[in-house]
Amino acid sequence: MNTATETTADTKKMDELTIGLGALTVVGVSATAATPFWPASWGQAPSIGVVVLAAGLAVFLPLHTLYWWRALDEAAQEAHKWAWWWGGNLGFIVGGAAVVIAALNGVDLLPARVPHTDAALIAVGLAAAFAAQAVGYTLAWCFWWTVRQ
Amino acid sequence: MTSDFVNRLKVFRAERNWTQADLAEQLGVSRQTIQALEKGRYDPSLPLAFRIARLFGRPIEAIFVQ
Repeated sequence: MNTATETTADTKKMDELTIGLGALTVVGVSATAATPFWPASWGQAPSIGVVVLAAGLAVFLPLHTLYWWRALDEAAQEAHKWAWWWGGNLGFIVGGAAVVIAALNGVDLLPARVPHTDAALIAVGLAAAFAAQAVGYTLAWCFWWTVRQ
Repeated sequence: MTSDFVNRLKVFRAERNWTQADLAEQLGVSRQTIQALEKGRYDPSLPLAFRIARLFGRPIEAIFVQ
């Protein structure tokens, strides 16, 4: 099978997965009965639909990502790998430094209405690091393509 | 961002009256990738270089010159 055929096959698989995910969403919304055999120690049983949807997402999303990645050509893959390494790392370093500097200068990173617990502070730190990496990734990806066009 | 190679991709494509999109479709890559290749700002992998050579019916060294 040549590359163009493989790409088409992967795109078709992605479409099939998207349809499957749509069907799962319908089940997720409509099957409202409580999940049977749910251990009492885990708290209140969620609906069957939610469990089916969560299980479907756990399978479909990695598969969808795999087919998406394989459908990209080599330059597009290279752009993502480059952006992941340089953009992600530089974004993390710059974003992390900004958070630390802001915290050391007494800037309150949490909204006033959110209780300032340790867990909330850790969560805001993680979210800030993730956001900084995402911004760095996006900028690096745009840079990679811009200098090559 | 310039390649160590000079390539004649644009010349061979023009000889066949193909657009970048035509070439991209036949190679199974995006038009942006063809543009980067033609401008010498992206070096193809060996498998892609072989596909290009096969498509134009020329040896690799006739297309990519150091």
